[in-house]
Amino acid sequence: MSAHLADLSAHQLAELIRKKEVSAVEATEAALERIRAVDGEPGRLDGPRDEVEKVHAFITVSEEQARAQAQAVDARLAKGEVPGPLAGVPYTVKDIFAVKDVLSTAASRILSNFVAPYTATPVARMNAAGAVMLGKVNLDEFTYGSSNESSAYQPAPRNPWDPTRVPGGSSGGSAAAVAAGEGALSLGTDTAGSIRQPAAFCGVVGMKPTYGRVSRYGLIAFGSSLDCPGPVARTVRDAAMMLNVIAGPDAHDSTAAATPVPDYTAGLEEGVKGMRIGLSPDYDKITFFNHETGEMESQPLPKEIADAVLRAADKLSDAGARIVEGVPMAHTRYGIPAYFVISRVEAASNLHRFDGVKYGHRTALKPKDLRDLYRKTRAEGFGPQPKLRILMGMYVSAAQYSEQYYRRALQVRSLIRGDFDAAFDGNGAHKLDALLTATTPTPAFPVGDVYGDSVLMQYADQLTVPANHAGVPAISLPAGLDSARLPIGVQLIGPDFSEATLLRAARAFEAATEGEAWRAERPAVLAGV
Amino acid sequence: MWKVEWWQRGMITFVMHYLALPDDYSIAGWPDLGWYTARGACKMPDQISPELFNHLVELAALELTAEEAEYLRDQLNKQLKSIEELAAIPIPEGTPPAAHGVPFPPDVRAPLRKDQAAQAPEAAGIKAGAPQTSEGYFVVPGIPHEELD
Repeated sequence: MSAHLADLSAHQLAELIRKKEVSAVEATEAALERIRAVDGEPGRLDGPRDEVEKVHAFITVSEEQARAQAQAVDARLAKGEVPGPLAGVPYTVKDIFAVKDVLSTAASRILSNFVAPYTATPVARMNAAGAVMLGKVNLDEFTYGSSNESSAYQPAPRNPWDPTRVPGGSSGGSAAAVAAGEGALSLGTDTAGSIRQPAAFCGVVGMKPTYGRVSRYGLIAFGSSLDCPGPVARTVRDAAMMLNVIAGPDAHDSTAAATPVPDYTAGLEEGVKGMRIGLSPDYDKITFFNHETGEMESQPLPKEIADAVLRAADKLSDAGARIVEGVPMAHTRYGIPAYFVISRVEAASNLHRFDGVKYGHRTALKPKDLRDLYRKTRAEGFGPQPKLRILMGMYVSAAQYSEQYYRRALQVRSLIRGDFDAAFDGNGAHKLDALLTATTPTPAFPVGDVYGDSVLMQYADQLTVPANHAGVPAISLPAGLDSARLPIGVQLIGPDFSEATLLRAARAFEAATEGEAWRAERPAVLAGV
Repeated sequence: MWKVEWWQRGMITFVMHYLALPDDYSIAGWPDLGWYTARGACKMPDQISPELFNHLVELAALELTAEEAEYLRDQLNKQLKSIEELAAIPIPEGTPPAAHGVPFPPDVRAPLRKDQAAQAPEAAGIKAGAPQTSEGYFVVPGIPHEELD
């Protein structure tokens, strides 16, 4: 019974708990049991890198707090109180959010002793809705990566479908945990694809809401103009339920939009009849810099991935959507170069606060003065990816360079935004409700294959990063398995604050594929569980 | 072979200026700057020389092992080559730089909150997280200073 509970959707669990057919404590114990069965040891500083059988999604499992939260939900239910919409639903939090009295590490040595004195808004809202936090899950250090291999906490998460492969990143712990039934939901963040890419790699649903839809208060900042907290779930309805809870204005974040939050579950089953969904030739390929030739090169997407997009278009067409082909998104290929500049400048700025003075790691060596303290602390505390981003950010934002690099990258962001504005323009040529693309150019890659080459790793985000530049919402959906039984994801991108429409289209695709054989397949780590 | 654009020349000038190098300075692998800029074509050397790299490390308040420095400088140069593509993008006149992708018109923008002072309820918890405090202050080693003329 308890293993079964861990596989239920948040929606199903919440129903059962509300009807008192299952208690919040039972749901929580089932999730904790699943963690014990599949997760193996949590990531730790200087831990082993070569664990290849378990999921290792967690940095911190907060069992006692979870049980206390679950008991409180059951107590409220017993008193006849109306619990929140997620009452008793177990969830995990990417360890980039501050949670009061819980270790909040950003997967970095420099925050390895940081117990947050306050709780991030999206986490506070999940808890207020009755959801039960199981713990903090692993990520790339400070979210800087697309594979989780850069975490200072090893073993890093593995892909539940094939633990020799990466779960993606940076919300890799979130996607891996949800795929393996270690909580029905997870709170992730997406700066260039960090929710959608791991969701695609792990066969789950991941949504990057519109920039400003979800408060960033309590999120340890990476690229402040790009970061978006969002849901990771196994079903579209669960993602909608979670977005209902976490979205909305927040007095602690001036960029949290004042736009009213609709009920994202209300129109979920209304289908796609009459919707215009676009396909773009600019998302059928990846363009990257070849170090050997010194030239930019384009390659078509692998056939299995391109076919998955076309199959999804057919399904949506059969469900009544109008598929619009040939939508130009001419600046897609510039997303990564512009991101290399903008995100590094913002990261370097955000990382200057880590200095060994107010919180976090401080060197045990005897520094000769304050500057020496900074240098030694930061040298010990940061791994290679933060160091690289600080150096790059400082270089491209230097006064003499900012015109060529930073200002130009911000102008390119306008051009990328312009592509989306034109595609979604109600008076334009295409009048799209959503653009349908692949989420990633490849399925999950083997551990060690890409790590170390920061340029190649960044290009894993080529199809997801334009939505971050433009600020528009996007959702990744499971769309099948490839010949190696690895998940493939497709992505729907819509105009600002069109989450309800995207979720409705996503649900239509999910419903249209519910009977397909791949939907019944389970991740390899669940064999025998 | 690389065509040297105006902005690359600008960068070279900047690097020279940044390191306070004389105009006829030569860098290993980059033997003759005059030839380089005048001919407008040669294999692009690393944009970030070891000297410039060390300067960035100092500004970034970092210390690196030799092995780390070699890896990071190599990666920086590779990333810079990849972003050179930005220079080739035709940007129409008047294209504004975008601080955010999403415009924040008044109906979307959060209203200003009242400017009110409030005591942080977590002050004790915040200080408890500091490596070293004394009587409510953060304690650090001596602050380096220079005598001004």
